Amino acid sequence: MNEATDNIGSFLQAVAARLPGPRIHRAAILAELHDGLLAATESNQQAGHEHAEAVRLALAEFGDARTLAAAFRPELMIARCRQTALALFAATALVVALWLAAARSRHTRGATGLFDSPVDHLAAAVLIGVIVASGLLTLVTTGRPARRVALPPQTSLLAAVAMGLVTALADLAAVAVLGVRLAHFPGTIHALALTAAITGSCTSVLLATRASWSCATLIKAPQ
Amino acid sequence: MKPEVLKGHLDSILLAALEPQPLHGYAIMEKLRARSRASIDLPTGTVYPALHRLERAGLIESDWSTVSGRRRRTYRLTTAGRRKLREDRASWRQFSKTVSMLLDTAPAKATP
Repeated sequence: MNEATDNIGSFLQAVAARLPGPRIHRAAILAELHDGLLAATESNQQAGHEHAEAVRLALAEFGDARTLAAAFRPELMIARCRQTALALFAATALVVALWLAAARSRHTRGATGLFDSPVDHLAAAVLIGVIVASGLLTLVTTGRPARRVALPPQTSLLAAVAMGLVTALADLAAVAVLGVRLAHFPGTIHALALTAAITGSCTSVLLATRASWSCATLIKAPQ
Repeated sequence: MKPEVLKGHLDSILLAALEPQPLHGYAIMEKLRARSRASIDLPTGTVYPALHRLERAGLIESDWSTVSGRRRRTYRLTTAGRRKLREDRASWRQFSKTVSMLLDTAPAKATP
């Protein structure tokens, strides 16, 4: 009995090793397959087979682990893209809030022009706008209407990769441009608020780059 | 019947299996076997990814429960799923009728 049960465990491990995507989705798939395999085993036992044979037949019914995992990949890739887009939206909102907090922490004297020029506002609007646009594109390509027209998951992956790169570049631009500007206004901004904003942007760069790379590797990953 | 023959019809078949009542993945497969008198040779594992795709498309929805100490996911049709099933049935009947007419045509009598 233990050996037969081990066979189910080995099969599920083989499937798990080939599943990409968010951990919560993978765990749900494995739990569902586990239940299905046990239901198939029970059904085979009711048909008169010994337990070990019932397990063997159940595993044969489910097919090859590699093929099964490959069949799940498109949905998991789409789930990964959607998760990436939502995470980057949240990170961007946090980074924008941190920079606004830094801007509001400045002293009134000697800070003329910092964060106030129309060029600054335009640049910030463009950076945020590009991130939002690429994020919305990712959400649209992973949403229900896109599933009904059977849009290939590569489209969602490309959108997610683009969003990650755009977010990373926007954060780098924010740190570089504001860093140069701040060098001309020493001591005008609260050090803690400024540190938090720069740290937030740098963390966002790392997360966005990692997410983008993770999605990019899925585009042509072996199955 | 081989899986490749069913290609393009699996979604409709799964929706039809869920029409009378909610079912879990393996119960759907058992129902398909019973209704097709075991003529469907479909790896059970292929049913699960298809169910996930249908759920993401909003045609079915699922709930988790605990049965015999293990987690079980049960699927049911949504309103959009019932509408899609009606459309697929109408389309299939039309297709089937047309192909039957073409295939069942009696050979023309040879002219003397």
